Amino acid sequence: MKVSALGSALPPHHYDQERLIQALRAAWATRHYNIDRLEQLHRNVLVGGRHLALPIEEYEELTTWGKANDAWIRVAQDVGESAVRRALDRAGIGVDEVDAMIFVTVTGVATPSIEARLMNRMGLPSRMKRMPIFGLGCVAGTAGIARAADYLRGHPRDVVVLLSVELCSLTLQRNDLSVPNLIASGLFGDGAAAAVLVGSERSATGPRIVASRSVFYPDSERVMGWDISERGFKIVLSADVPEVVKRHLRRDVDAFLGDEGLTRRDIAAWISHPGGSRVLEAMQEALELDATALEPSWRTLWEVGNLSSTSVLMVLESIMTGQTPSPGSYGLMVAMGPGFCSELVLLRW
Amino acid sequence: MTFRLDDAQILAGIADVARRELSFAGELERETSLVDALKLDSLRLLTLVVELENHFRVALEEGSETGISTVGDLVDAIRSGLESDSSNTQ
Repeated sequence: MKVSALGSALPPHHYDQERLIQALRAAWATRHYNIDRLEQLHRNVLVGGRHLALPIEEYEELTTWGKANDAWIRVAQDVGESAVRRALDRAGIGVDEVDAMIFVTVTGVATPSIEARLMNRMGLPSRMKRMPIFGLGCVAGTAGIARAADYLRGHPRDVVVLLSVELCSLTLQRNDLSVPNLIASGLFGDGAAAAVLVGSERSATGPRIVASRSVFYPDSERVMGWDISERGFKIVLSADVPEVVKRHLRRDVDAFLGDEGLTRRDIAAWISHPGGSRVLEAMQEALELDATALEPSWRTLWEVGNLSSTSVLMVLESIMTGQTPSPGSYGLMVAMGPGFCSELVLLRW
Repeated sequence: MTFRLDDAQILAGIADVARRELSFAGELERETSLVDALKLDSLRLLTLVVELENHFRVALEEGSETGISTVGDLVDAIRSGLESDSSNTQ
């Protein structure tokens, strides 16, 4: 099984962080006294800018969850199609060759789900198996690669497309001026990424999926997630994420690699979900990585923000379209998300 | 017109904010450890600081919260911020 190619797509509406801060100031001022502190909070997340699903002035019109979700369904199809076409083109695989599609998101709901709508838009084959997955959050990019590999073990001649679409800006509740929501509004952006994976009986370039590991952390449901209000998704975010990274990640990574006869020193490419600056710092410390090991994740965070499940796929895309690791070297995909849990995927070039 | 708050009033304001924003149930005294009593992690500390700034209409110095360990330290920081704001507007 191989990850043959990846492609990403971002909405055309890009704003630098200062422009977004200016847009949010008026809302902050209705409740908060020290706006300078909130501005600094948005600068401290080390995000330079973000792409938004809609032009910034159109967010005023999203007065209900229904309106926001309608926009989500429309834009998710646009960026989803672009990402899938880009990934298939890079893989040299036709639309009619796709046997299964896994669609992951945590930022909008649709039935029929987005990959069903893409079958109509793109002319994907009617035999294509559809697997929409909602709720894994930031971990879904890595988990999606792992589940695609699980599927391909039983279908070694198949082509699977994993599509992640996350339009985080459409979940933003502008009347929620709580600190967790203020942090989220400075960190999360919008985008889509697709990965084309092929079974072992098909020839392809790209890294081989060697193994994967899921780890669930009991009784940690309030570390991260959504509460649902009449206005839609309301973020649950605790300060525990960097602590969970420090407490668990090294042990879990070492155990996983140990089972494959490897250690952290064998990993040439760290493909980590860029959850935020404090999470990346905690990961760097916990895994004893040098300052450059997570550079692709830091760069993605700076350029487009945290795109939830899409981010780790963009990090892998940047590695696969840049200076790829030498043949025989290993890469490790790492992500954590609601549950709380982690997913690890070992790749070999 | 300038209203001067005494320490007891500032303490009562802190307790109000802690009950409302951090679901704190109990009494606060000057010697009370903030981290222990309010179970402060970085997010709850930031919430407390932001909401105290809203409550007292004061801008606390950026980073000042790192030197605060007891409720008394917080009372002093708020009083200092109020005095500073007052002198700036006179």
